[in-house]
Amino acid sequence: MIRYIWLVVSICLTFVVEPAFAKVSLDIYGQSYKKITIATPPFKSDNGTKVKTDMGDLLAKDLDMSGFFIVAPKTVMDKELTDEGIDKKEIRFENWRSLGIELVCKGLLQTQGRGLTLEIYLYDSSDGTLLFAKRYRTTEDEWRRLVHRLADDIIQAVTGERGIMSSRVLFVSSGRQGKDVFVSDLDGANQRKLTDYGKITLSPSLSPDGKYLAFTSFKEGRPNLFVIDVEKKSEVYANREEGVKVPSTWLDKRTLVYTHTSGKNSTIYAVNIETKEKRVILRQEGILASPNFSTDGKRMVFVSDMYGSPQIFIRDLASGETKRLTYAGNYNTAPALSPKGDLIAYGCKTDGALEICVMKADGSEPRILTDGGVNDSPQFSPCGRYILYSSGNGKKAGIYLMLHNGDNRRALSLTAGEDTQPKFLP
Amino acid sequence: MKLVLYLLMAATLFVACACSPKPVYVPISERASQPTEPGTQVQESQAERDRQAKERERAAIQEELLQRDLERQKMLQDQMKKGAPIFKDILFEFNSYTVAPDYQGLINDVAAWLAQNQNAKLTVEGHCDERGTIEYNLALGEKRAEAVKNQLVKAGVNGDRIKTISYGKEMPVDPGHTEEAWAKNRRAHLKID
Repeated sequence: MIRYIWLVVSICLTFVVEPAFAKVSLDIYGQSYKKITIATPPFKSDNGTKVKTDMGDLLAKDLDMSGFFIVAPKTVMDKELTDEGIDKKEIRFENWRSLGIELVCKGLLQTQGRGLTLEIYLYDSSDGTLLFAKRYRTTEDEWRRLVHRLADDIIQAVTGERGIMSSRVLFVSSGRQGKDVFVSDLDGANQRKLTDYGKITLSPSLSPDGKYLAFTSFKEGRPNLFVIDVEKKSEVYANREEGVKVPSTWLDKRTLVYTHTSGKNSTIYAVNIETKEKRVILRQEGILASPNFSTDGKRMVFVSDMYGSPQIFIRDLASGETKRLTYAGNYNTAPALSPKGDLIAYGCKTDGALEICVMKADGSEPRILTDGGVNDSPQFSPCGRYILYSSGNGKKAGIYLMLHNGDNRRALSLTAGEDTQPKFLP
Repeated sequence: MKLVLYLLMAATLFVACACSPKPVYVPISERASQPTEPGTQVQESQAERDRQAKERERAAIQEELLQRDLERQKMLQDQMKKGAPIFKDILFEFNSYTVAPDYQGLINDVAAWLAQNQNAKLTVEGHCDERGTIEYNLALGEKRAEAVKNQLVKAGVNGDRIKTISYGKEMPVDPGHTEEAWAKNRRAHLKID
């Protein structure tokens, strides 16, 4: 597992009160939600350090990417506003209100040696209520993570659920030679290469405890399945049988689910990578692909071409009852069940494009979220509010984040190569 | 005809070589950069370095593509030298892994050649166009390769002599994003080992 040195982000004073306005909630089939306007004037600081500006910029970027805010551009704030103090009695809320700003985020940044302390006060401009206050402490070079924590805290204070800006992403990137597996913070920082074969390596999947990485690699010429210990880089499991073996997901810390297509059949297997014991979950003639499971492990969504074209099915694993979910079009693939089990994101082919769509878990109310290009590998965030996916439109493919209603599409800036097959890591 | 082919190949090789960036020698004395002020300039030069690193990576990727092109040419040349024929790719409809009846002639030719060259082995590579998901295309490529293998077995070739390998959509023969390019990429490629 990528060791996370969570540098003392200490919580000295924290409190949150209910905002005066209704909490922002998302309903993809209901009315569009309303974004909150927020201002993040430059933090007060004991000296004019550059890190202060960088932190302010990153906070604005994070809040924008979260999809819940319209961040006031620096240009709307005049000197009077930016020079204002951070204390409630120093703030003239009517000035902020006149700009249409609902929330004001004030900060005081102090540096001691290589340490940073940031005090944050989030005010509701309608009545000056202090919604949230917290003191963060970290070292100078961990400032980015501090900002992500802060953004996630603000998102929690406003929406009632934590943000995802501290998440990381697992993905495939094409480099000088071939494609390899990388892990990165959502903002592109702290990148690490997990495989380095210089061949084509695809479909990475990390075990729930982060210890093992499964992938398909052409490193020995054929598309074989490998599981490696991430820290030791050693091979723990391999499948070199004829045909294509593609890992999809993990049922628990040791049980990997993969699909093997060879000869007449496709088979979805669950294998314990330590005991090497494997069992068949489903075997069919033709193609099976992209199995993934509800959080309770009782239902599996997958792709099958049993009716001539790839379509999405859901199977109750106990009863074996299988239901076809997609009927529109001749190409529906790459399903991903939402963590709550109520939605399925998937890829569908329309005229010339491969789009990301979402439907209810019973197949009703399908909706296209993207608009053109080749979009692939949709994945829900653990909170279910976001979808990560890859997208390319005749140019370099990259990874994008959007709200699960398709709003607020934002490109992640990861590598200079082609980035594909993203997966959220907590 | 063959001569024309060789000439074309030589020309491609020549152009490819001419394009690759040549290292330029700069004496150390001239390489020294201006001393940077602490503070903002350091940051600027950091941004500049990042930009240059990205540029370099981009150039490297271009170079890699050229390299791959060269390798492909070389592979074809090698195969011609070995006297192995270069069979045409078998193309597929979108999302299909049925070998069209038009290819029966080609299948028979390949089977006949393999019958005359009992030591030769064949690899059938299955490929897909970009308008599909990476995972599904890996399976689809395998199905395409196996469909061709099955036709060859029907035509009398021993199945043990034929290997199949799926590349999904990872190795397009035409990197374009047009119907024409996609049609070329939905293919089974036959390679004599």
